[in-house]
Amino acid sequence: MHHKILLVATSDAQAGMILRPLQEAGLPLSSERVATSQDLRAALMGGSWDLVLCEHALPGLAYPKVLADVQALAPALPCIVIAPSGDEDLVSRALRLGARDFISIGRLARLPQAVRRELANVPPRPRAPERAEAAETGLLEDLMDEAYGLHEVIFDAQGVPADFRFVRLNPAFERLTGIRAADVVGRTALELVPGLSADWIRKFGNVALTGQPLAVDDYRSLRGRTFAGLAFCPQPGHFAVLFNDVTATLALETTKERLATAVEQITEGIFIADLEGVLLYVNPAMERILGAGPGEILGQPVAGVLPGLPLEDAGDAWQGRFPGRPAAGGSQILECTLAPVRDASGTPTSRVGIVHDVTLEAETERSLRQMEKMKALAEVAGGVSHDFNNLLAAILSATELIEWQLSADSPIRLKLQVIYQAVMRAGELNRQVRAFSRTTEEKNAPIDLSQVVKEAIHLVRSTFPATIQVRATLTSGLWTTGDASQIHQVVMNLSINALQAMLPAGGTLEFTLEDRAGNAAVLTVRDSGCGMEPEVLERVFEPFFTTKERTEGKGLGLSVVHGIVSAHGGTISVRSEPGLGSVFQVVLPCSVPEAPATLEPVPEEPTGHERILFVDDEEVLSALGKQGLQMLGYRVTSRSDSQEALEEVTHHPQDFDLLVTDLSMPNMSGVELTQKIRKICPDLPAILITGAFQDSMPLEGMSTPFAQVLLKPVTILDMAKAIRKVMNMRPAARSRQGQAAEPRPEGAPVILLAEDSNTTRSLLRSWLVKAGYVVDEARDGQEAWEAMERNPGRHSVLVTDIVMPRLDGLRLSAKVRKLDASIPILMLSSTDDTESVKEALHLHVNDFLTKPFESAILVATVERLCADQASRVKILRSHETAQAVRMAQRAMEAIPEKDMPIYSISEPLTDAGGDVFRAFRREDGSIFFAIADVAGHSVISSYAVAAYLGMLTNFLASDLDLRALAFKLNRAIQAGPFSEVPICGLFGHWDPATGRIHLLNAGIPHALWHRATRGTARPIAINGTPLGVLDEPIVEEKVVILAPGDRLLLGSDGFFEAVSPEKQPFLELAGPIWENLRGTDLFQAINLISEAARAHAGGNFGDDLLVVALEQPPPPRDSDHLALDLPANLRAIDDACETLEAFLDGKGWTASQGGQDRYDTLLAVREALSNAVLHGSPGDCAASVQLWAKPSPGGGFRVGVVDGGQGFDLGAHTPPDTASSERGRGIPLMQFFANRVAMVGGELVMDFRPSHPPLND
Amino acid sequence: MPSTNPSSNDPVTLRIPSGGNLVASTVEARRKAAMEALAAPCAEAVLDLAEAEVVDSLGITLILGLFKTCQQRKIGFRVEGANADLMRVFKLFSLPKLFPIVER
Repeated sequence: MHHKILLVATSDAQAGMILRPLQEAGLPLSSERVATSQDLRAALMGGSWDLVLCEHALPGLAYPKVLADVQALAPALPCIVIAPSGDEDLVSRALRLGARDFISIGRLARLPQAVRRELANVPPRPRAPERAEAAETGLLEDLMDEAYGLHEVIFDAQGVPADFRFVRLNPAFERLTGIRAADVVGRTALELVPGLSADWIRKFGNVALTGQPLAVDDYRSLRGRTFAGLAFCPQPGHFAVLFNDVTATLALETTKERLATAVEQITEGIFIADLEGVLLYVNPAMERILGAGPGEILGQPVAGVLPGLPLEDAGDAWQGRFPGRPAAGGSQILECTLAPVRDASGTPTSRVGIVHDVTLEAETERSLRQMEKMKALAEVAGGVSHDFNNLLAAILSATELIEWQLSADSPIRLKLQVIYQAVMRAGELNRQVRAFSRTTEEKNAPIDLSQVVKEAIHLVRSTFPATIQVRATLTSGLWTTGDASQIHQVVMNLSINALQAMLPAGGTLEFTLEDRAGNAAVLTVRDSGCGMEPEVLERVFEPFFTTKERTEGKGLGLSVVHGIVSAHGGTISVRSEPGLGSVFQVVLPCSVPEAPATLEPVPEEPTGHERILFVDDEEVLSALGKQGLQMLGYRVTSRSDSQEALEEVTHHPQDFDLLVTDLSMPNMSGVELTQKIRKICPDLPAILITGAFQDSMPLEGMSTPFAQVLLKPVTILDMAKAIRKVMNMRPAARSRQGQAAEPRPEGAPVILLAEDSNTTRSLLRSWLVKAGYVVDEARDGQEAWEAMERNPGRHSVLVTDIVMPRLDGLRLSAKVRKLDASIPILMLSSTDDTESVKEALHLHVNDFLTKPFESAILVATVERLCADQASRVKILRSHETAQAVRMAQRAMEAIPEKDMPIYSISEPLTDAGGDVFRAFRREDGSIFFAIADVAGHSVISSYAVAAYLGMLTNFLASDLDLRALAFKLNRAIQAGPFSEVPICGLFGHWDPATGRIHLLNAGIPHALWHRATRGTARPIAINGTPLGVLDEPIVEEKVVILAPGDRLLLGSDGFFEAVSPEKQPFLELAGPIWENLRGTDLFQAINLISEAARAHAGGNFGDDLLVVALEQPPPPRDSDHLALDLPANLRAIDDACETLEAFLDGKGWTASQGGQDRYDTLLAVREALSNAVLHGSPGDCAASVQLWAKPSPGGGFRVGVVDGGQGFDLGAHTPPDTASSERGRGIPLMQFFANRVAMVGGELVMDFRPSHPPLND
Repeated sequence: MPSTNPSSNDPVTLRIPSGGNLVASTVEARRKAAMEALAAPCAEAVLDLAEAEVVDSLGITLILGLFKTCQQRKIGFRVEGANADLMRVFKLFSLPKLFPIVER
């Protein structure tokens, strides 16, 4: 029997796939495919079918709809649903809706069997009337799960449907709608629902009239349920509705749609792969993560697109990270959760993966791990640094003490210097270690920006390749508040960024540090590298954004810079163009530094007699510190245990004037010790010695801060200076109580009397007091020793018994001799113990008395010994007086320099180091002078001064190129024995005959120029770095032409930066004062302005004072020089050229040598003047330009043009590249017509010789 | 530098006298006058340097500016009346390769 199958399928291909197993099974059948609801209904109503095969989800025709249509129009027609998977819910639902079977696509082999079964059961096909009959009987409808309702249409007079009446409802209708047949059958719709839409009446009426079925897909009931079904015409004038409740179905589909939308839009990548690992589905996010286009990777094996993903075991879930392989290249880290998808039986059918790109997170984690590692390393380095510092401090102190004990000509001194320098270098290394561990800088401390930037540039110069030319123009004296190491990092990161932009070709890296309106510092870092595209520029500060390969950089450098700058209250901006380099500009708020330590008054001699408790857990350091300070006159009690130190103060609270303590000590730190001592002696000043600032936190909250904090390794001299400074700052000496602490009455020697017998001691004391002495009593040798140790220098004579408990007289004498080799000792003995006397003599005991003795003998002996001691003190005091006189002789008197019209005042703060001035007259009458400020005031500094002057003299004999001189000195200092002592220098070469003065600045920033012709004084702004610090010092030069009567005032920072109590630097007042002194004799003027500076500083200079003044004399009558001072405007150029032309005429630079030479000379000078006027001091209305000319020794002329700028690099000038280029011809023109063109310090000098070679046409 | 057109037999030629030296102090005024003169319709412009003894680099920039303006306006340009010193300077910068220069 041949059967007809109605096939509901998407496409012919799909239909072919479904029919193929049936054909292969040899089933005799024919088929027709429908794909729309309309075609389905038409086929059902028009044809006779034996079976419906339904693909489960056609667009707009899902299987529930198909089943409903079949149920409505051909209820007996069996229907088999074919779906991709055998989902349990899907199967049960399909069967519930009337499907006879459910076949999954994967099991189509079962389809022939199912079809045979259904076809075998197909009853003889009922005819249409049979269907009507069945409907009339109602039996069929009553058995249906779907709701069935038969209605009769009521027409109006015109035959138009006006209402309909309920005829019959099946039980399913009642169940689904809640409407009971008994309530509605026989009644019309408008009776039941008066507001029923006429549209429904029209639609249903039309079904009854035309017989055309009507799909009712989304009818919503009053109970909120949604029905879908069909209205059809079972008999004329009637319509029936057949529908099902699809509320749950719709809700499920809606949920599925939502899920599908979410999966499509979620940012995590999701894929589904079959068990063979072939991708069945990927969402758009997955495609984005892999850099694939839509549909590009569908059907590909997972192993191909995610090679790092483990897919071996399909049944296990897996979660983890693996490297990705993005199509765009680069590296990628992916995180994936992979899980099997199982069927109802638990068998895996496919795998689903959720993928997340965690490259950024992985980078962050790696960076954090690296930071943690570096932090740990820094902590280790900090700890090592601390111990290392202690070792250095011991070596340094011991070296210093040995040196003090040597004679001046001892050959060992040189070897000690080697040790000293090695220790200082080791100290520098240690500072670098601390810098790495970031413990050297305090947060929010004042920072000398100029210094930090200079140090960073030094590092850049010494580490960057030679193809990178580094230039710097830095304004000094700019301070901000923050973390110096972080600012250092800002400069380094910007430099490294610039370096990478300039490699491999190389280029120029320029740094500029400027003051902006006094409240901000502007650091500009400019490179000539490849520049950046706009899209790169927009993201340049984003973390992890990099244009480089991952292996080259993390993309963190500039984001770190941004973070640091922001944290310091600053801003950073960048501008760049591809091929034109980049310019980063950092603006940081400026702050006025707290009074720097250099401004505090420092004692001339760090000696004293105060009583010091010295505490350091390193016994060596403790002993060395004590010994050194005692040699400077202090009375020192040393302890290597902080608990012992505390007990010492507890028992003798009035015996100390100062506490000097190490910070890191076991059991009790220096901070804790100080806090506890302050509870006993609230006013006791304290000095803290520490290896680093890593323990700075405990300093917070102390009621009285440390008066000084010294960084190890510290020399004894530096320690003594700090002690002296602290002692001098004390408002008044602390009150003392008790005999041991009483001040010695003026002229009354203090006798220390050690005697264990109370009767004898009392008797001897009474004799001595009666004789006018002050007596300190001790009950045994130990007590006497402690008294001496606490008060070294207090006692004039020690009178001691020999036999005493705890410490006898001989051992006491031995200890005392180590403490003070010169104190007279009078030993008392009760017997003639010759052995004891011999031993006592060996200990240099001065005299003996055998008990019993008379009071007169005791008094006479003590008197003689006191006289000896007084003599010793007198010698010491005379030495001190001589030194004071030496110092006084140097102070405050201007000295003309060896018949040269140049004056200087020098007032050194100490004998060592300090400021130096030297002037030399050269054979041509010009004067070379040098001002130097040598760092530090130690013995080393004084040696460095001597070495520096020696080097300077040697170099001057052969050379007067100031720049070359500075560089030579720099190299000599670095290679010399005092390379650790930098020297700030200001060199000048002045020709009084012409008024030309050439200045070069290497670290002393101040010079004032009073211009007699204009009555104003203005600073000459040049700057530089100290010599000996950088491999190539940064120096600035300036040439000025002094007019007759012009005065120049030059000074070291001790003068110009002397601050008033209100923190105002003298520099701000110096200009007006120097102007007002214009009518005063120069000698008087320099003395007066120095006094003014002293008064401004409150009577004390905190630094060495050095001031130099010179005045340009009138020109000689027979001068063959031309010197013009022109206002900086273009009209003045013509006037100057006319004057120069007349001058040249007067010197014969005319027809005899060819008019061409003169024309060329004037044209070249005109160009130089134009350049000076237009570019020398832009924006300065008061600017001027100087022109000078003089005959050259070999014939011809030398002409100079000087402007207010600092000049530029002639070699860096770019000439016009084509004939039609409009600019850039001035300098080529000068270079062509002059025989030589040179630029230095704003002065452009040209040499013209006659008979210039003719031009080639 | 007033513009004139004295050549009655060649009405499309515009003569621009230099009015003196072309140097830093004069170029701005000369430039303004020359540009005003060039506003008049003409087929060719001639810069007359008969009154100029000195032309500095800014003066050369001015001449090049006039030349480029003429080029943009499709107008011929040449320089006349240059003395020997000026010719040396012009040759130094290859100006004769750009436009005709007639020596005085």
